[in-house]
Amino acid sequence: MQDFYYIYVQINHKMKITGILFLLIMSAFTLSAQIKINPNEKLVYTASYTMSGMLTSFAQITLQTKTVKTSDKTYLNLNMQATTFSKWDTYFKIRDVYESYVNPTTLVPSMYKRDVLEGAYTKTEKYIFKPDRKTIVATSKRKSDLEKTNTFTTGSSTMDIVTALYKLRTFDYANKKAGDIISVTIVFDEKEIKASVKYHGKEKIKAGPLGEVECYKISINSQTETMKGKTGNYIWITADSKRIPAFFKFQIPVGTGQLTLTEVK
Amino acid sequence: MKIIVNILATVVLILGIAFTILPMDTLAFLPIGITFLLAAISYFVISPKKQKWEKFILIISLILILIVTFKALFIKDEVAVDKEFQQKQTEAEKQDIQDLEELEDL
Repeated sequence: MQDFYYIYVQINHKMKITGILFLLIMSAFTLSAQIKINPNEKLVYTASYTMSGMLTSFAQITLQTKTVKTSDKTYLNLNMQATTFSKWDTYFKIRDVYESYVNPTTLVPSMYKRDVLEGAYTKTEKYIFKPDRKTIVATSKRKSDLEKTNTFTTGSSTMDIVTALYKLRTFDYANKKAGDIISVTIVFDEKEIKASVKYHGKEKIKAGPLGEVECYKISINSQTETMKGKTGNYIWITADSKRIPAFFKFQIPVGTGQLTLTEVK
Repeated sequence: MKIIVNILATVVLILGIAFTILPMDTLAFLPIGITFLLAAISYFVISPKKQKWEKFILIISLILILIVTFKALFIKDEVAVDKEFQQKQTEAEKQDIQDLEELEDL
């Protein structure tokens, strides 16, 4: 019993929110001028694991945007939170926050933060994107280790995973053909990761509060260990001006993970 | 043969009980279903002589199915209000604004 529970927790751990978010957001696109991210948007999802048609829901994922002002500038705060349902808190508590402060028009990131609490594991990370857009100053702290600071260079179009998710929504899919692939670069765990995003065309799906909607279906692949050889990571984005990520589906070692939309504000 | 099936049914039954206690939702139907199937094979197919153990496993399986169904239908997924977490977020935002202002001065 212990073993099976351990395996389940391990699977869950693998798809724990770091993994989920990582799997789901491994891409970024050129910003389309027509699509803008609503600065006051809240999307809530239920994260679940399915096997042979059976399902267990374990966390709530919230994507939220808001405008943040400093004395000189205005930023768009892109915030993603993952919280286990209370029924799971006793066994494996997750309180993850991934957020990015970006230019509201261009979605160029200025700062990225990650604050992870997953069971006994904690990690905080902060990237400051220097104005030259090629240098990142990263500060990280894992568990009870000392805080580390590292400065590294990246490509000028490299972005963090939160920004990537939102940029993904702004792309002009209407002018894409099914099968088109776009290469993108993101930075995660202080490493640049090459990813590719494939457009699969339009599909109608049921998306919780949105009802049945027409969506752009895309798949994501990368060369990381997490994603290697896997092509079953899909996102359905509504084919309207709001471009809401309506459904996420991703492969894990045993079974499938998914995020279903439950609330849109 | 009967012994092997009974042992398997018992092992999977323990897993089914664990899945029922843990918040596994309908995933718990998998081990419970397998247990039920094994016990049913043992009770109705293999054994010409009805025995108490298989009957016991069958009854327990049915009870577990009812419990899991009840939990799936009536217990809603909720996120606990975590004031400490919320407080941490509020404080972090103040620090973020400070960091952004420092970045702007570069």
